[in-house]
Formats: sequence, C-alpha cells, structure tokens
Amino acid sequence: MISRETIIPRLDWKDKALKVGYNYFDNGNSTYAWNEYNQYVVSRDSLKDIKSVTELLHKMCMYVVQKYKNDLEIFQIPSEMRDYVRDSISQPFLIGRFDLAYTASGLKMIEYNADTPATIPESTRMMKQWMKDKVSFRYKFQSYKSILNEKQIVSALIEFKKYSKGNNLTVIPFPDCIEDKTHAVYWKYYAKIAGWNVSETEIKDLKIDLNGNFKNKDIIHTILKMYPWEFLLREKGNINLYKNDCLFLNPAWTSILSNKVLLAVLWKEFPNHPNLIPCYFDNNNMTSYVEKPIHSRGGENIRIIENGNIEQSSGTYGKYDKVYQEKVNTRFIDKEVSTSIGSWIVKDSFAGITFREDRSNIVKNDSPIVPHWIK
Amino acid sequence: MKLKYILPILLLATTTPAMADSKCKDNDTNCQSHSGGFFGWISSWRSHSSDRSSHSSDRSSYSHITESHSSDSHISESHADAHGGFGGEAAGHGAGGE
Repeated sequence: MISRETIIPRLDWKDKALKVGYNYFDNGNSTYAWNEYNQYVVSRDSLKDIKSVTELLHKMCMYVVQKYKNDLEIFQIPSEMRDYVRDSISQPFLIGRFDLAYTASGLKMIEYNADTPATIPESTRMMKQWMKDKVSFRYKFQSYKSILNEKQIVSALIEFKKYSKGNNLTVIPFPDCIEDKTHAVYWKYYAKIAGWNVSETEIKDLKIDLNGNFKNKDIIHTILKMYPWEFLLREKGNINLYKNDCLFLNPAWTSILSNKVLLAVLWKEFPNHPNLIPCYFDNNNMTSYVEKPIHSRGGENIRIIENGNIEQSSGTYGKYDKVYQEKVNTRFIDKEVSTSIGSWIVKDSFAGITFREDRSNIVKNDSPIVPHWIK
Repeated sequence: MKLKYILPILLLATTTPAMADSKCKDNDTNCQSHSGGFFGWISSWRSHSSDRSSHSSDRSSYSHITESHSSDSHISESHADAHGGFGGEAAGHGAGGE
C-alpha cells in the first residue's frame, strides 16, 4: 500500500536544504523541485515488493546487455564505437535508478536511468534530514533504510579500485549545470571516503597525452561522469576512448540501459511480463501511448497520445528516433498527480527509493521530489 | 566485514559532503574552484543564481580545442587535433542527469 498525504512543511526547509548542499530546488518560475507539503507513506510490504521487482528488472536488463552486445546497431550506437561499448562490459556497474509506475496491476517499469542518474543529494541527505525532523520515532529507523544507501555507494567505490589501473579518480559534471556541480560535490565526497585521489574536471578540459592517457594535471585512471554516453560516443574525439583503459563509472555499456530502445527490447524478450509496459518501435495501433525519443533526459520531448488527446513537453532531444510505450495510469496513488517511484540499484542490489511527481502526466527534471516514510 | 569497508563507513556516518569539501587544502586545485569552502561555494552559486533555467550551456565554449589544450606541453599538436574536443554534443542541452 502506498498513499499520498498532505502535511505541514518545515518552515525552514530551504535553509536546511542549503546546509546539505541541495541548492537547485528553485526552478526559477515560482515552483520548486522539492515539495514537503505532501508525503508518501509506504507499507513495509510495498517496499519489499519494490525491492524484489527492482532487482528482478535489473537482472532482465543485464540479460539484454549480454544478448544484444553483438547487435548494438539496434541501439543506434555509432558503428565505430560498438567495439568500445562491447569491450566495456568487463567494467562494473555503479548506480542506476528505475522509474516505476505504481498501478492497479502492480509496479511497472517506465524506464531505467542507468547512465547518469540524478537526485543524489535529495535522495540521500535531504531525505534523511526530513525524516529526522518529521517522522515519528517509531518509524524513523525503518524509514532511514529506504533512503538511497550511501554505504552501498562507498562500498562499491572501494571494491571497484581493483578494476582501475591507479588511484586517481576525476569527476566530470555536465557543463554549466548547477545540479551536476552539486552532484560532483557529493561524488567527490563518496570517492574520497572510499580512498581515491579525487579531482574534478570539466569535459572541455579533458586532455590526452602522447601515450593516450586521459589527463587533467595528472593521469586519470577512473572517470566518474555525469556527461551522457550518447554524447561521448558521438563526440569528434570519440575514437580516443579506445586509446587507454580508463575505468568509467558508469561504463559505456550502460548506454544500452539508458537508451529507450531497451524498453522495446525488454518487451520483445519478456512479453507480457507483469512489471513491463508494452513498448514498440511504432505505435502498434495503440490508442493511448507515450512517444519517447531513444535518447531523452529530464522528461524532454515526450508526447502522450491518449484517446485522441495530445500532451507533450518541449526539449532538445526531438531529432532522435522514437519508441512507443503504452500509456499506463500513473495517477493510481493520487489522481491529483502523476507519480514516479525512483528505485535505486547500486552495483547489483536494491539501494532505496525516491518519489517524484507532477500535476501533468510528464514527470520532468524540475518536477518536485516528495519525501516518503515507511509505515 | 573487512576493515577497509568499516572505516570509510564510520567516516560516512560522521561527516557530510560539506565537511569533506571544506577540508581541502589550499594547493588542491579542486578546492580552489570554489574557494571559501563548501558554504562559500554555496553562497557563490546562490548569488550567481539558484535558478537552474539560467544555466544553459554555451556551444561556443565546448565545440573546439581550447587554447589550454594546444599550449599544453604534454600534448602534441596531432593529439590535440585528434582529440577533437569532448563536450561539443552538450550544446543546447541543459543537463546531463537522468
């Protein structure tokens, strides 16, 4: 059981947000990307259900990666980079977030954000602070366990040193983006605790030395990036990725997971699976469906066709080919809002949940995160 | 659980990203980029703007090899050419996060 309730917010939540470094909550149009006027209450059984579905979906995705590693053209990965993506499968997976719909017929996979998943500050320190302030003592500690688990992140970063040729890790945020700049602070913090020599590099400042190594002021052995793979694989300098064995977190093969083609392939491989939504490369004569560019972030360029009505978002991803996913009811918890349950995977295990909602049917990257607790 | 996992997790439980960042040393270029420690950096960003919509990317900054690349003695001209610059695909897009 998952319910949505109206509650009294903390009057000082903005100041408290800044204290944990969460500084991009103001969307600049009199709306906020954090909403604690509402809360989601999740039963322990529902949390267990989310956990088991999430880990199952991740395994299904890994199956697709293995099965389709020699068939990467379907994911429109540039031909000259397919060997690179294939070879990267030996590199470990760090973190991803499924977006799930909670419907009358159970949990359904909307998509898998498994290249550069965002909302780390909100999902960790901001959530914990809210729970500390607002959740009763009786439920506080079981609720803490449902937050994106930083211990799992740090443990993975410790373990992954064995895949790196050295101890220098650099974090690469997306350029000129306050949200990614803040994420970089968090990632550097986790990596430092895990014992890496940490730096931050702007993507434009990533250099290559005579031996093909990536460099900033030192040789870089591992890159923890928030710069999308679908961009890196299409850059003018993409071939240089072959020149060294830099460990990328997440690795290049996660470009398969974050690609919306995955949704159609999963449906083909696991037809009628109860946690999947029908998805195709054309609209398949559906009357209610969601049209998604194969590369799209932050809810951009989404078009929902529902019994003749059209709802769409603007964006910068319109040039890419589309997939067509059946429209499911994302307003099952509360008809006032469309709800997305972000369900985290770190390495290969469930690692917590994050709720995001929107009054429209399209949840975007400035739609509010809403706190939750476990009853 | 192995010691190499226990000690970092203890540290994680007793610090915040803010504290970790403010412990940077002066010669850490990583920290110089937001001098004044974490809170100084927050204030800087806040005064700059907490409005994400104003942080759109500028194509001209990322679509070519920067001067610092070609003037770097560790990088040959041919490598700089081959590099071709990473970051150009970001043009027009506002964020990298999913």
